[in-house]
Amino acid sequence: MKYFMRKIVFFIVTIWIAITLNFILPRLMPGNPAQAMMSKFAQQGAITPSQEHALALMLGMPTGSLWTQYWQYLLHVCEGNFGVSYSFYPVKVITVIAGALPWTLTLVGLVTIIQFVVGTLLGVYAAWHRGRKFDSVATVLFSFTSAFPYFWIALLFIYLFGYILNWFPISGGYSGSLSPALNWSFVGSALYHSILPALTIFITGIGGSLLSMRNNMINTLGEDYILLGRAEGLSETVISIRYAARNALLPIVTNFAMTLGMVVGGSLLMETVFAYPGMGYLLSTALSNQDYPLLQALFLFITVSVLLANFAADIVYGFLDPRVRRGGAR
Amino acid sequence: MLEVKDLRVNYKTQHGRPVTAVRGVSFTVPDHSFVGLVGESGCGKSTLGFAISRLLNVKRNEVSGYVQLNGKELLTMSDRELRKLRWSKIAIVLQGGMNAFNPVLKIKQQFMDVMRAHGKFRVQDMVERIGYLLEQVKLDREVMEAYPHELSGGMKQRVAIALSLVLEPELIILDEPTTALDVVVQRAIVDMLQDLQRRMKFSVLFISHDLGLVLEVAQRVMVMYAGDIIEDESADVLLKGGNHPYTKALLNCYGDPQSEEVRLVGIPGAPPDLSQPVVGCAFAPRCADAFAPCTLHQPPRVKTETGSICCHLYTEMKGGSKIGN
Repeated sequence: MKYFMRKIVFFIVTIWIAITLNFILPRLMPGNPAQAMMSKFAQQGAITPSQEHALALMLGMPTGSLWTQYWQYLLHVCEGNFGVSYSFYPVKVITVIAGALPWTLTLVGLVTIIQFVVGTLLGVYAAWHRGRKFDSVATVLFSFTSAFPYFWIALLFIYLFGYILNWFPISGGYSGSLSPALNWSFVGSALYHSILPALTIFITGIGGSLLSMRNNMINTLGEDYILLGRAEGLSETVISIRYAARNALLPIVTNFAMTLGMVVGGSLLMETVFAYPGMGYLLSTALSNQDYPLLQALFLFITVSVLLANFAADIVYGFLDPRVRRGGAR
Repeated sequence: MLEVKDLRVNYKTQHGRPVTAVRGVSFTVPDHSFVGLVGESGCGKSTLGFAISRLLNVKRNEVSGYVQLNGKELLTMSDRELRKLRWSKIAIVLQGGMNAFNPVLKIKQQFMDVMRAHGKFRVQDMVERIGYLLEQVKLDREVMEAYPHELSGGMKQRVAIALSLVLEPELIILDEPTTALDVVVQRAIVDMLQDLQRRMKFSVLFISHDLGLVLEVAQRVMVMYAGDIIEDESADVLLKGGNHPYTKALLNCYGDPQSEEVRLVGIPGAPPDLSQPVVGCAFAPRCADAFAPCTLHQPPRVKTETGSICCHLYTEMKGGSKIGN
């Protein structure tokens, strides 16, 4: 219990630090968004002080001392109020994010999980039958696929399956003739559009999961308790899963949690290449439009989700590995 | 009773000739006996132990010969039959230090895994049995609720011994069971083992590099050199000094704590390269008593009153029996 309490306290403190940093960083940068915008307008003609004031009000420029700004910011974060997006003006930042998050979470999240589960299981199989046909083929093949740059695979797939064969749409999250709603034609269209992005993420990601599980498991298979398990006459299933894979999985859980945390940031490359309406696409839009409120909120979302994933990993790890739980020596 | 005949183990190497780690070894371990197997590092004693229990990697080793437990041939037995026989007839105890137990399972669960692999047991009965065995190795029953990392090295070794007893095997092979422990704990564990062996009536094959320790507990000791057993003798005879020059040299490595001046003697030279065929007696190049036939002919096994020996000093080559003098 002490372990879990410590982790919870640690988690809350890091979240607070992340939020505070997110508040301080933009304020450390020289200039502010209003000035940036004004210099743009200034090229077209002189700007009067009243126009400048109006612009500041429109963008919601903060007023007051740093402390009052900080408290206000904390309060707003708790309310989910991140201000108004510049690039989608006057839509609120939170609404913009709410529109993009589900796309990323379902597609990138699901594919990441499936890719991890399938890759890990295949890794267990390859390690258990190491040196046999499947292992030899898989090790070479997946070293190859995991070395591909993602954008290259994505472009290749778009060209091959989208352009030449015309099997799948080449961009977007759903057909342009539909509007988001929970009905069959929309869900069907969304699924259809998600196949190519999903495939490309899956193909480039699975190699890593497979190889790291395989290598870990081969290490574990050399341990004395595996030998003892054999001598005890335990069944192959018990030895391979309960003794070998169970222990080989431990270091991988942390890795996987980190990857899951990054999901919320979206797959920047994938969403850019496929113009997929998720968080990554939003991030690149916000960047190119100097949309400060949106950027700040996105950073906060990404940071918090990485922290959340790490926290989850710590908790899960505590259940999986008794050595961590009691903080004892080995 | 365990009977080993002409057991040979080759390790395949990446390049070149295979290394012959065990070179045609024959011996028996009678029922209810405590037999020691002693030799220096790399002499093949652990390989021999693993070959008997068929735990060597089939891909990297060639094992030939006969290993029979109560007349049943182990080396050619089907995997299914072998799995049933494992632990219920032959159990092993590894050096208990670091990783002899699965780190994520409670001690209790590891006992239960073995029992479940060999039959149906009620949880209650299993817990009772585990508690009883832990008491037999002088540990608290509560140890069953612990994880391996919560136990000391000595405790782990005791648990490993308790675990080996769980299905009442006929033979327990202990591979360097006390090597990682300090002398005091070592002593306690060996005494406990001897006591258990007498009461529970199983046989022990105790593999160790520590001749002094083995002589104290074993009834019979086999001395191994370069993949072969060169002397197989009762502990009493060996305590008086042994017959084979190698055994004598080994015994010389221990100082007498009673004497005023302790003189420790090593054995000069190194064991032969086992990737090359050995001509003559393997120990001849290091032997102070070697004479002409030693480097030419492999010494045959000669029976003695209480055991056997492979040395030309005791064959017709040098006028026959010198034993007992």
